[in-house]
Amino acid sequence: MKLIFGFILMALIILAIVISIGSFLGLILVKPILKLRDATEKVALGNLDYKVEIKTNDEIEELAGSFNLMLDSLKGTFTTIDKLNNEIALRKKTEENLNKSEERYRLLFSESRDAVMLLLPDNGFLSGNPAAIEIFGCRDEEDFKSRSPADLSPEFQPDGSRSSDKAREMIMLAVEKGSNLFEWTHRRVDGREFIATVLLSRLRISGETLLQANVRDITERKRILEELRQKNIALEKLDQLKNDFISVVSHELRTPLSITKEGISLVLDGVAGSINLKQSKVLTTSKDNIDRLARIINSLLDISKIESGRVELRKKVVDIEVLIKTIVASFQIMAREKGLELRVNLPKGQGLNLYVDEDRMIQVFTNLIGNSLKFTEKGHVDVSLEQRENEVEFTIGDTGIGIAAEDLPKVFTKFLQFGRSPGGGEKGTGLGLSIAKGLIELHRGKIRVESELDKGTKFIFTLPKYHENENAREHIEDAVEAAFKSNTHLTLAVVTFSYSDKIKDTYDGLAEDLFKTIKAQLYRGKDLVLKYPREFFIIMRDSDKNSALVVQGRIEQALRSYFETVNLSKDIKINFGLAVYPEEASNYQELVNKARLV
Amino acid sequence: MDKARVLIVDDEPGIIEMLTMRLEACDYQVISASDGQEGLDKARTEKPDLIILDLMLPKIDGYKVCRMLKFDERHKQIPIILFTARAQESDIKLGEEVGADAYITKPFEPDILLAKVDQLLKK
Repeated sequence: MKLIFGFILMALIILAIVISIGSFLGLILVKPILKLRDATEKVALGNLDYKVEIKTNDEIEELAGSFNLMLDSLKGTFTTIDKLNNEIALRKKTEENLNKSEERYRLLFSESRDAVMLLLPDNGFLSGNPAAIEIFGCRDEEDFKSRSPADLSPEFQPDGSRSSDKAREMIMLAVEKGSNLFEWTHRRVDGREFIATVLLSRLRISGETLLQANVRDITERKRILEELRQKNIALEKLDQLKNDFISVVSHELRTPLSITKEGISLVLDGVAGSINLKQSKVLTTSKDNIDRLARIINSLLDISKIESGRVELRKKVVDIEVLIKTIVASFQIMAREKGLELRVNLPKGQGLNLYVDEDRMIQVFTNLIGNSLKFTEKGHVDVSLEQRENEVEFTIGDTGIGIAAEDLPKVFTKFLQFGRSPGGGEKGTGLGLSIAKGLIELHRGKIRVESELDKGTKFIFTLPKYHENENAREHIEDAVEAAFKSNTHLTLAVVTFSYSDKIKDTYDGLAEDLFKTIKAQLYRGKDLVLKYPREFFIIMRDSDKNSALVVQGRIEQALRSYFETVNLSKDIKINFGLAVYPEEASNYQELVNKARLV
Repeated sequence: MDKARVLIVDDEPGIIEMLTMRLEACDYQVISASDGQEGLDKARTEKPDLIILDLMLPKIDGYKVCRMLKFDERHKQIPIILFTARAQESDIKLGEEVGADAYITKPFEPDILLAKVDQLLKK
């Protein structure tokens, strides 16, 4: 029994040992396997960065190593796949863009209203869009491609050159310069010709040079342009005709008008026998109306001259204050008869010089003052002037019936006499204000109107200021213009003096005498001398070289005798330079340069 | 003293008629011509004291008549009034160039014309 018990105990101990060993072994063996299982699971979930760490020094560690290697390789593969995927996406996008752009260009090519074609520089068409096929009247693209540019042109271009030669020249130019735009006469397959603009652009496609041609039929545009040009010419002719008509009619009317007027005047003046009061009244009315007719004719002539640019201003230096006073004085009787006060308000000074055409200025002031008096029943008419920086502003204001706001923009429209009924007196022509405006603008001035109904009207206009020393340019340019228009000469003389140191300080005092001496030798009213610190300009209108030389001789003679009287003959020398328009100079600058150089 | 003699050269009979009446009323003696040639002839033969000369005349125009007289030593002292419907600035200039003494445009004011005639004859 004891043996059996011992045996059983033994067996139990062995079992226990075995179990212990087994579970110890199991523990050692199972743990790495579990680790591997975990790793597999993690990798399966996509974590490729996981690393299995097993240090068992046996096959399992080896297995783990292999596992890690496999993971690395797997990771590499995945990166490659990623890269490939990215690349594929990129290519797809590029391709899409390319397709889109190709589609766009295809549309541009096929839907373009312009005929677009590709050709080889040596005259062969590669392709043409539908518009190209249509513009030349070809059946289809094959038909089109079988023809050359010269086939689709008449034998000769309008300039007489052979189409095939000229086409080659145009193509060569485009190849050289990169593009070439020109006009070309094409001929359709059916023989009809049309004018086109052709733009040839050089293209380089994989080493090959191609030309793109854009052809646009401009026959219609040309026709419309030509039609417009013709219409314009006709209109200009008509305008000229209108002006000539007015001019001729006005002149032709003057003779019978003169005879009638003089006839009536003779009877009225009693030259043809005595007349009674009644007859005298009738004839006075007739004469007044003949005068009115004469005024209308003169206004018509004036406006037609202004409109056709045929007014020749005879500008000279005019004291505008004196002129205004004279004109106003001539209206005083008329103002008094109407019970109006006509006042002049000029700044106190020694007069104000302007460079204007005196007769035209009289016309402007007469029109404006007359207009104010006509439309004023009570109160006053004021004429005033104010000096601004570069201009002089004149105002003719009245306390008359005024102009309605809606009529103001029409004030300067010719032939327009709106709503204002003048209180008797001379009837107007509806031209006075447009003439005044035209004349002021010819003088480089501006006119405007301010008015309030029943309060009064103000006409305000400006004229450029006159600075004697700055006006040489204006004077000379005016003279050049006049000479050009009347096809005459113009001579500019520049006189300078070289003098010894002795009179250096007294020269300025001398200059005024020199100026007077020169001026005294200019007999014609249209000659002008301008004084500058170092030189004198003499502008001689209508003078060619020969007559200018005569004047030069006279001036030099006079200056020399002046120098003798002041005993300066040895100390001062005259330099006289002449420049003649149009032979030697054609504008202000050239005249001055030439005259100074001599 | 003899009456001053005025030669009127104009192709318009109406003008001649009216001017004659006006001038005679002012105690001038009037002779007339109706074209440039006749005007020139009468100016040379009749030796008037003053000439009123239209510009647009048949045969020889007024400018030429004026120049031919003014450039002739024997006749250049006769005052000439150019009398015309044309009043362009260039016409006036041309008048100055051919040596005319005055310029009167149609329709004219009798007072102005008479004053000019009077003034030129007094010289």
